Amino acid sequence: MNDYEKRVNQLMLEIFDHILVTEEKALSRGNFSDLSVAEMHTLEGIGLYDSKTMSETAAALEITTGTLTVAVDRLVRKGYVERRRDPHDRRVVRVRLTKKGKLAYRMHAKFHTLLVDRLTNPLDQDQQQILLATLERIARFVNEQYKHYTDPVAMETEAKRKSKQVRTMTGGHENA
Amino acid sequence: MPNQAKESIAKIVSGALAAVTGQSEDQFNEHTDLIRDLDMDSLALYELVIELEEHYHLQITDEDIDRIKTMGDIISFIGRKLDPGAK
Repeated sequence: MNDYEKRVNQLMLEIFDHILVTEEKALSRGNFSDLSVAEMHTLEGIGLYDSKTMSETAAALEITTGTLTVAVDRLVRKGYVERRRDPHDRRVVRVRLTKKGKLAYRMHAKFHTLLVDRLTNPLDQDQQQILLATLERIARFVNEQYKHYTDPVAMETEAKRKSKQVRTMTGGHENA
Repeated sequence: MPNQAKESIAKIVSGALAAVTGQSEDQFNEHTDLIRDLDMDSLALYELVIELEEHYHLQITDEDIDRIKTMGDIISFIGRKLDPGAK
């Protein structure tokens, strides 16, 4: 790795780590200190307006309905979310934010707005466009990697490819 | 906005303001400044906004909130949202 690559790598890790920690600390010192960052993101997945079904919410958050059920149970107990049966289809459970949940959502959204404002306000229009284009390229690349490592079909294909490669190299004796 | 509609909105807004700030409704008038006079911070402003959104089934964005300074601004804003054709 040359000096330029080292610096890019260092900055990326630093930004990633510090944004996560800042978000966590801001939450723990604010009015909603009983919420974790993951719980806040569940509130974001449910959304500020209207109610959503459990499967819609799980899909928005890219988690299973089982994982969501555990998270929602906790948020209901803490008073941030309410759960109701759909009046048109009793088999369907819908979730929505309570007033307290909406308040937490909006305060957290404001935190993100301030973060972005502080970052972009000192830049002129050209610099803002360069920043946006660069972040979009980074996001595209990271999303491809994310899909590659989290998509079960892609992972199975990769595992088969590797196993075939090993068999070829060892002449069919995998334990060689 | 017709006077009757304006009075009805003013009643709801002052009720919500009283609930959020803990002050009596007769303390408020159209010129009451939410930050300068009532010392409302962003948490209190959001509490007010959520009350009004739920009551009137509206959506109030952060950009809308930035333009609201006084109780009169809230009344006009809600009036416009409920009757977009009205001046």
